[in-house]
Amino acid sequence: MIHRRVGLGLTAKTLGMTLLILALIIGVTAIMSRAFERLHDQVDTLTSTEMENLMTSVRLVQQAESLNSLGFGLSVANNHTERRQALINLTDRTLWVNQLTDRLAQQGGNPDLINQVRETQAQLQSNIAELNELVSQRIDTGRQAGLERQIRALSHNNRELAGQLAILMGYFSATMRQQMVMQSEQLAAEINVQQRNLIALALLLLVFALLAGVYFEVVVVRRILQMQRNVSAPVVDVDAFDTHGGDEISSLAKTVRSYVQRIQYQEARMREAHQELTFLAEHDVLTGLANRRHFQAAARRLLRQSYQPLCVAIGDIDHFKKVNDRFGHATGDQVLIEVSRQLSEGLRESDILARFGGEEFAIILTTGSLEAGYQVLDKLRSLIAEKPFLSSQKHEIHLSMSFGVALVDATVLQSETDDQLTESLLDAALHAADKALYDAKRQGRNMVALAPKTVYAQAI
Amino acid sequence: MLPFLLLCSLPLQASEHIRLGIQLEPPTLDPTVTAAASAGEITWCNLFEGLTLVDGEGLLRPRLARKWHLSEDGLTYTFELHKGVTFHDGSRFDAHVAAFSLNRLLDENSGNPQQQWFEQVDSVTAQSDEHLIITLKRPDAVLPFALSLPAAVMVHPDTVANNSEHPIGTGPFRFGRWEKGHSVTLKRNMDYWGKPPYLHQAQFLFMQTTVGTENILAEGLVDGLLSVTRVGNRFMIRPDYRMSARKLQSKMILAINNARPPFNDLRVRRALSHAIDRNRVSKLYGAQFEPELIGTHFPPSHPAYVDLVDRYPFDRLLARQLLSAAEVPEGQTLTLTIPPTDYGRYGGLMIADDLEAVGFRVKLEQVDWTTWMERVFRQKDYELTLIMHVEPMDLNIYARDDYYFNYDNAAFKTIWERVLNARTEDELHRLLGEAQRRITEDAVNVYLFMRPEQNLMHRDLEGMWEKSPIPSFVLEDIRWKDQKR
Repeated sequence: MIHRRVGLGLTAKTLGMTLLILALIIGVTAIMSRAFERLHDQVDTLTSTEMENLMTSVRLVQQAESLNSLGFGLSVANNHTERRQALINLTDRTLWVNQLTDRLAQQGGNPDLINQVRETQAQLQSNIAELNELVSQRIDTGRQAGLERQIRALSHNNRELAGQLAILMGYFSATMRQQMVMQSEQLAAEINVQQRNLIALALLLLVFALLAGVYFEVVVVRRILQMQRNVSAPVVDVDAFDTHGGDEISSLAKTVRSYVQRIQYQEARMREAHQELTFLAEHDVLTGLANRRHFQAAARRLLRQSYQPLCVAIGDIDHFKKVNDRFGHATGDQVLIEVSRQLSEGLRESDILARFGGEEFAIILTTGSLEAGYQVLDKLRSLIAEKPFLSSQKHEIHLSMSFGVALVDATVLQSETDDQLTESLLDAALHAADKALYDAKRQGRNMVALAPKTVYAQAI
Repeated sequence: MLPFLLLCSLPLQASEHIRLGIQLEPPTLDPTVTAAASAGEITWCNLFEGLTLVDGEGLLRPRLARKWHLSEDGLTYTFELHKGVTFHDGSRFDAHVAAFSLNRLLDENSGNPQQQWFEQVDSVTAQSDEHLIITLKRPDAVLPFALSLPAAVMVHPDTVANNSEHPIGTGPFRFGRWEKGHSVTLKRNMDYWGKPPYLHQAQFLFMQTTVGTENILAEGLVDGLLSVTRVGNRFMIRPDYRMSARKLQSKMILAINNARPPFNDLRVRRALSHAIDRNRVSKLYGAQFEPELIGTHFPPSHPAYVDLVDRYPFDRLLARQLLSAAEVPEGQTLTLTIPPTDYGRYGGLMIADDLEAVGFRVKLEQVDWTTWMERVFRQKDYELTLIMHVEPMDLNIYARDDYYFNYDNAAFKTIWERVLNARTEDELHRLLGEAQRRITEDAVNVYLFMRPEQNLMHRDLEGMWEKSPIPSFVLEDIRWKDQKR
């Protein structure tokens, strides 16, 4: 379970940072789109108004120039068809020139200049009308010197006016061109500024993104990696988890730590159980002494390692069946426990004592001679025989114990000798001790009997 | 994402504009008060809508009306109107507004150019918000067609007074601005009640001069021309233009002021008909166009058409004989008034030559369109004028009392009365034939040829209403073929 109240830290930070970046992006986009809009407007003005003005004035220059030749066409017309043709063309063109001039005026051309152009146009138009009249007269009445002179003069005047118009228009288009150059320079400057702004904003965004990256590296990635290292160490140190702070990673660290602690606790429990099981496998449940299996393993080890002969003994409580019959098995068990205790206490640390089954015990004494072994065992025997056992029901029970002991010489065995050979040697020694025990029982019990012959490893 | 969208949206907009060249600048943008077809050409079905329309396939369909129903006696039409239609200023369109529009049309002093189509109408009333009742004096099967004409569009009583300068209709485009002498701009009506159009903006530019048209075409400043021109052909070699056909019935005539001497004399009018070489004049747009010649005020495509082309063959001698019989002196001066169009300028030159060849002295008078409409059409102050009649089925103009031809002929009016009362199609056709013969016999005007109906259009434009007989340029289906432009 994630505790929301605590866990909000990182989510809130992530959300905050995302929103901040988002706001930054939107801000940059808005600023840039505003800038683009402005640029778009400027380009629009440049291409529509300015460009159209320029085109119009260039067209006007062309038209003004062509008026010249059309005027000439009218002055030389030989019949009414030619005259009308020339007049129609002239009228069409002057009308177009007027329209273009109106267009220029509407789009904010220099008013003084426009007026000058209009005046010239009006003059030209009235000249054309007059010329048309004169030419018409000439066609009807034939060539007369006076008329010809007038026509020539008017024609000359027309050429002058058309020329003036062309020059005015030329000036117009030059001004327009200059204006456009200025505008495009302005536009270029504006684009430059916007370019720099864009770069600056992009850098700002980049820095911010980098900072966010570093922050996440420190706040998130590193802590998770540290946690992973902690968890994957051979021995997990629960104190190494960083559980400070209130964010999700701390909460995760806490969860992992508690999980690791649980695992460690379970591990300890399992180790204990294992030890207990091992103990149970090698020891007698009732007395806590080693069992036959453990005895054999320990004996083998001892045999292989000893540099001197060892005593192998088997002890048996005398008339134990009667104790059981008379006082019950519970008391019998108490007797076994007590005897085991006495035997344990009477032996050295290096000796091996095991319960072989029933009331039978096996002992290996690390004494170098049969005599020394006899002394240890006999002391134990007299100790048991002297002091009666007081059962929990306050019965006083007199006990005695018989021992058979044999000397085994395994000094020639190497530590790497195989188990089977060592086993055979041990079996032989136990067999000898068992025979001696049998002798002790037969000779009246409560005694220690010695095997007549030492068991030698060489003999096996 | 955002800048990407912004970048995407810019080039798209440019392609949703269109610029169209139109020859004549209308004196007003209200097609219900002017005979200048250019007003309807700009506004019909774009800005203004009628109860019905003739669509791009030439079929009569309902528009602001959902449907209509004719009573069994043939005397009562009931029009059921669309709901939720609004004018560009937000005011509501309903049967009361429709009744106002039609009653305004019917008013004697309305000046509506198509009034004669509604002569059989007795009354127009709104039965409810959605039902309009039109009662007739006599059965009239063409009324639904008449209601589709530009002069029968729906207008609102509150705004009708300003429609000349700032028209407000119900159409898919609303008025943008009118730069006098230059252009009219229409903008898409975002609240249009019907299917929204593709274009965002349409600009109609006035091409008043031949040289200007040439300049503007050369620079690609228009995407199409709304009628055939002399210079258009030359641009056919450019890969971006093509010819687009129209189905109009534009009749080119040399109109005569029948009341003014010497033209009040039938012999003089007949002499004019013999004097004009129609074949030569018909080539004024270029040799590759071969317009159909006409001998009367009627389209040859109509089943009732009577071929009277050879009634007055081109014969200068005969013309001179007729003139001398009428005692018209040699060198008699006459004025030929020409409108500012290609046909006016170049056709006018040819007509002037032909007339001078039979003994007249011709004064060619070039006027602008407003002057023509005022002086020639309204005041009838002219002698001869070269003019194109673009309205479909307009033979009835000869029956009008005060039409600018000054014809006022009782015999023709009688024929027309019978035309209006024709009971069968055969009878109708026979009577229409009679009417055609009458005006030709009276040589009311010199009938020249049918205008070649070819527009110069950008190759990437599609959606033109090519089969509509109404002089118009309907924008609602127009779009650029590929949006890359």
